[in-house]
Amino acid sequence: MSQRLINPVYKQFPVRQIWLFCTILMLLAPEHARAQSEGKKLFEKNCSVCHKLGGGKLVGPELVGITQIRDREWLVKFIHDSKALIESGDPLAVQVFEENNKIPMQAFPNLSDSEVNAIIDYIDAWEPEAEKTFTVDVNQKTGFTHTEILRGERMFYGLIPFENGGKTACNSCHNTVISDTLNWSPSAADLAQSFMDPNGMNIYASMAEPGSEVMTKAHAEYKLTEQEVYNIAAYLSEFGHKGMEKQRSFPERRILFIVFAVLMTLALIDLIFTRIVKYRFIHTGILLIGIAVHLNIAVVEAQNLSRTKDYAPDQPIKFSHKIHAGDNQTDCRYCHSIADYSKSAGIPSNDVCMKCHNVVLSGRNSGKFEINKIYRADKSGKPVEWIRVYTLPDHAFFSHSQHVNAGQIECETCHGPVAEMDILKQYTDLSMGWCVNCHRDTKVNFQGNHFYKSYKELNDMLQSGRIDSVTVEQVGGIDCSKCHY
Amino acid sequence: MEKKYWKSLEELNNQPPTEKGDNNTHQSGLLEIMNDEIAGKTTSRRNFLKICGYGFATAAIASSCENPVKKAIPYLNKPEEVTPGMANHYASSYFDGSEFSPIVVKVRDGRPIKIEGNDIESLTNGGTSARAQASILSLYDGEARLKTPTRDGKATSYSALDEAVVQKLTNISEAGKATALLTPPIISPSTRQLINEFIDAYPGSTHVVYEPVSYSGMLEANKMSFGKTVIPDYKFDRAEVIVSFGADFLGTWLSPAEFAAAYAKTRDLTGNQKKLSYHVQFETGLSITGSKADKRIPIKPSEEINLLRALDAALAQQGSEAPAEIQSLAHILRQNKGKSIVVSASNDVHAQLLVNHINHQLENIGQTLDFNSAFLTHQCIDAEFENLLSRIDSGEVNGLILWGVNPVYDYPDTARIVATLQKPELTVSLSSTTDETLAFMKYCSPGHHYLESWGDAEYKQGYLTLAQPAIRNIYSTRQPQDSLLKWMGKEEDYYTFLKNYWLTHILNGNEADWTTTLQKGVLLKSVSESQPSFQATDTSSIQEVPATGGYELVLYETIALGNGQYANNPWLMELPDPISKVCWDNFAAISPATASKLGAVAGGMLNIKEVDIPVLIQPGQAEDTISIAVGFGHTAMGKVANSVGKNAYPLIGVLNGSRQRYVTGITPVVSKATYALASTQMHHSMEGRPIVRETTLKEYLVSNDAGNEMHKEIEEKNITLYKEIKFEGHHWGMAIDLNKCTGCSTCVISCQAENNVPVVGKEEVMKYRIMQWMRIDRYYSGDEKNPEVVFQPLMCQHCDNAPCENVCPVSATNHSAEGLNQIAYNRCVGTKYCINNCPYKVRRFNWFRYATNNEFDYNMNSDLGRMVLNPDVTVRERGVVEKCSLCVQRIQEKKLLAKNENRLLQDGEIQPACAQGCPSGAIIFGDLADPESRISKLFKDPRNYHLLEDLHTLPSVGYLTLVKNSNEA
Repeated sequence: MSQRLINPVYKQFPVRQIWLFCTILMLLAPEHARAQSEGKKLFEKNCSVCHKLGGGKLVGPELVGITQIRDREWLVKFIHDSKALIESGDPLAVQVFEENNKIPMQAFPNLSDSEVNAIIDYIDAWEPEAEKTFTVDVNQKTGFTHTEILRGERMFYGLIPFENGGKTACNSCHNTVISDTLNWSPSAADLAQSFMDPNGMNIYASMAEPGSEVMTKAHAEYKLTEQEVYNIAAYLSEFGHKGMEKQRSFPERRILFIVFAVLMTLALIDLIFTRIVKYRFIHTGILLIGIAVHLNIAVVEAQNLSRTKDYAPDQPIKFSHKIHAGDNQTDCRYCHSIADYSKSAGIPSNDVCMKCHNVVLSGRNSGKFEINKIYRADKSGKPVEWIRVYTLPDHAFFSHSQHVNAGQIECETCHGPVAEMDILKQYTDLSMGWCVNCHRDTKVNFQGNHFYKSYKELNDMLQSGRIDSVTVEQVGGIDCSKCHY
Repeated sequence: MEKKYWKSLEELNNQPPTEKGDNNTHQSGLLEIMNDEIAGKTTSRRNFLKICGYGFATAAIASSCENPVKKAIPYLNKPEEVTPGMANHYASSYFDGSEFSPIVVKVRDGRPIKIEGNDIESLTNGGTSARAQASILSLYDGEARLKTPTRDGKATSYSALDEAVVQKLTNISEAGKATALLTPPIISPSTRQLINEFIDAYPGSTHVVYEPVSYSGMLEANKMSFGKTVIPDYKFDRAEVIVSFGADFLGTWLSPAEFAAAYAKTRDLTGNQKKLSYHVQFETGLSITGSKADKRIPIKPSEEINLLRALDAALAQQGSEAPAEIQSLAHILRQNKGKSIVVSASNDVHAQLLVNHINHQLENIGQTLDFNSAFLTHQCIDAEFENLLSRIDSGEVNGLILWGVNPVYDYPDTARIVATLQKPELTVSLSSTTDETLAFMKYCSPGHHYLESWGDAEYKQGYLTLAQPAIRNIYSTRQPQDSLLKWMGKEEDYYTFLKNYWLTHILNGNEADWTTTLQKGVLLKSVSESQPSFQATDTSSIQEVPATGGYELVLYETIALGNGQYANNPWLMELPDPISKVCWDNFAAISPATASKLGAVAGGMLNIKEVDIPVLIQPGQAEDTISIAVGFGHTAMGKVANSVGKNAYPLIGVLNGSRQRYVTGITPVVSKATYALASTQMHHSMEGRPIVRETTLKEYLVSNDAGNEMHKEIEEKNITLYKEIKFEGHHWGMAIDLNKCTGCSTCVISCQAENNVPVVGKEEVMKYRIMQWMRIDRYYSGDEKNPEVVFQPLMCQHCDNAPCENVCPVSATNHSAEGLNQIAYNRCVGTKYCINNCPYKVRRFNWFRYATNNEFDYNMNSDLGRMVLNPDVTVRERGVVEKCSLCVQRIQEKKLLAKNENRLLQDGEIQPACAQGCPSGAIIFGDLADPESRISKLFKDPRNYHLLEDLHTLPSVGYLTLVKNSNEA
């Protein structure tokens, strides 16, 4: 964790004064601020894909200072329908078109004049953001006293109420132990990591100004004072070092095993030495049932040895296949693009995520927090370490290309209803029996693929109608050396 | 008359084999590895119960354990050209200082895992040599590779090193002294340019080329005869008569992979060609070239010049006093003017002048000897090196930069070179691996492995290739060219230098051509000058060498180790020599008659010049001669190379400024010491059955199935009660043309690299536990003084009626629907019944967990060494049987490609590793179910037969009867 050290700027900056200044400003000009915030929203929604404020050209030109060089009326016209303006031969429009590699700007006929004006106002009043001064070295253990940490911990667990209200304890949403229930809020460990990461979030900034709708809603009742945030940061820093604890599940099967072992021992002792129970059938019954239970446990355990059906580990990002593949209808192969031609389906690299999340900045369940992890990975240069769900042993060769491309098998056949899974789980047990059964039943695209033309006898049989289809097994699909070499 | 084949002298003379495998190999093997405590005690019932109890407890705990969490870490930004799970291929060039190959490097997930020949240009047909194949393992040699720059053996930084070296270079230059750059032959045009610029930057510097086995005599003779210090290109494919004096051109001489391809064309009877070239070999020790010759004449090395004189004279005038043998050879040669080749490997200028004169007389210049594509791979003039040594001794040369040469090991006079190397003020090494010379160098700026380097090459005139890195440098190394550029004070790196050089000098500024050439690897620029005219030198003054008494010692290079720079490569160390079948050692080869004269026995040692060397009794060795291989006996190269064998270079001195290959007047003494060689000689013997079928061209022309008459007979007798096995779709098979196979062993290494075959070490080889899936069987026939030799590559025969399959109790090995004899390793319980029942003895048992056992400290037990493993092939566990799979992973890969592209498989598309590496094209793989495929046609060839076909095993591998041109003389 030592690489996450950052300068303790917080102590040196007049944070309070700046806050005060900002607050006064906002109080003085509520009307202006509302218009501004509407303009900002509209800009981010419609314009920010192609235009950047400050920092030069993106796809479209830099817009800071545009109101000084262009007439407002012209701007409104251009934004509504630039193409029409260019076609009408407006010299300025044509010039802009030429200057920008003849990439036409998208038309926005659905924006009202007032909305366009709000955007222009926003651009007009835009100023580069003052440097964020809310940084604290939460990683610096010596920076926090024991009392501060303890106080933070109690606040986090809801034992000490917050000054300005907010009843529910932090840990009711932000887990402090690993649990198997779906929780979109970041866990305490996640929070700690994010705040301690130099590329991560700033705890002061995000508490003061929630970044996303989700968080705004969830944090509506919380108006933490700066001291409270400081204490919670202290606790989280401590927590980050400790890590999450795993919730222990109840070991039912093991207890069952032990109970019957004890019962059988007792029955045996009684049968041979003590003879307290007179009816022998009781002993026999206990012994028989005990042996049956033990055998059953042994067989089930042995069969499941290194099989991991229903394995659904917590991933480092709360990525939901349900949202991406289900709700948003993203094709599997948009992200797992190499499945068509490689043996591996490919865990998408960070840049694949960035293709969409350059624009999609906030998620509907987890706000900005989870998506931010992609940016953090991008900035830090450290890829996200996903947990592998489907694992085949080394001696079994499996090719996605063979199944997805040559075999035209749907992804869902093996991976199950992924589009309904928030947390991806292993749908099949990946046992050899499962593979072989499918190879026995599945029909190959025998007449559609020219590759199979060399199978003369099967072709003849198909033509003569003796068989109506060819299974994978018939073309050697259950040979050992199809998968083991 | 049927020939009697024999695999060793013991077999010929009906003696028990000298090297007996330990009868109790099973037990002793365990004893070695397990600790003594357990081995010493007998197991009591009490212990047994304890172990049982412990076993149950651990099983219970293990079953309740959780599966380990595995991570899947993607790229941050996936490079466009890298796809996880798919291999990329990059064209590059292999040059080891004497041998060159255009290659393609297979890179999987960022790590090079296999070398294949570049078949875009048809010079080598995609063939390579065993050493080129094995060179990939040297990339992952964590022991021998140098890791950081050093000063006086201590790690330093490049900036500190550069500063010090530049300072010294400037001092030397300003003091009017010289700095010498000592390198192996530089065939890179851009590097030659770079060296010239370096010499300009430090006036007075010189560049000297050094080779352990030099071609100096040849170069000097060609300078005299043709005015060019080059070696002409030998067009063996155009030759109808080939006469070689000691040149092992199929094994180690000049460019063996390329020559093997050309030579095979003249021995090919599978097409319409109905003739063979006639090949006569005069040589001392038995080489693979001598084995392939139609007529082999063992000679003492000192006799060579006399024979050349006689041949020269006999060609000039008929009826000279030459011996009858030479007369008749001259007669044949005269009939084939312009279609013959006479070569000699001698380093004696006189001998080479005679050879030149003979070729001139035969009008071969411009026909079979082409100066337009002359070889540039050898540039060392011995005298220049001697001159450099004396200039260093005199203090005239005060700086020495060594780049890829190791004279302390391979210069004959070790004491002299060590003394000389300590004199210069500045000594820098640019080597990439540690060696004997490094200890005497003040500075070391370690170089990249060639697979990490940029480069170019012009190994023959007009034949230009590029080399590109296939992996980022693993260690903190720097390409020597970059070091030189830095020391010249230039800012540009070698890649820029190289590209600029190509754009200005070769590609006429065409940037697109650069990309294309880089992709293809090869650029042919035809040079069409007229052939140089022959300038007669007075060969009459060359005196006949009087016969000397005593023994003569001759040095030779082996196929595996060559001149010795790759001695730390375990694959090469364990590659059995195709003739002697010995690995992990060099030895003194003497003929049986010489052995009895000296009183030497196999297993004994000979003391030659105070060095004890193990004896190997080699049929075919010339009488009163001793052959010893160079390349062994390193002292500072790494655990594999060190103290394996004896260094033979110092056994021969420098004569008149040139390093000789042989020495006369040796008096070997039989030493009392004994020594066991690890030989695969008596392995897998197929007692007296018609394994190799052979005939002569004359008989073949009369009847196409000459020598193979029994094939038809057996096929007719092959009837069975069972239903005939039918294959639907595909039926894979392989044909091996014994005419083309030269025994070069490239296939063995290629297979080892492709299929993750472990190295087992000398001790295990002696117990017959070598793991290679392919072997080359060698059989002798005829007189032990000069036997005929045949090679037979052998791998799993994939029998359709396989004896191994029906004895497997767990059905781990069985037959696939495509005719492959397959093994499911995880099903195998290691009964070894299949090994016992295999008539071909091609199955191997994993006695140990080679991949993790530190007793087998070769490459598989380290993370770096494991990088070479092919991820598509399972690394086998202890206790399972393995064998050739006909590279099923390659079959599956190409089948999938065809399916994805919605087309039929093309014949020849699938190339198993052995076929892919074979330089002479002796191995043909294909689909027997397709009547139009090459393999189906070869199986119908009357020469085709199967091994032990009378057993009705129905192998899917066929052999084509060997046809020799032996009765034309």
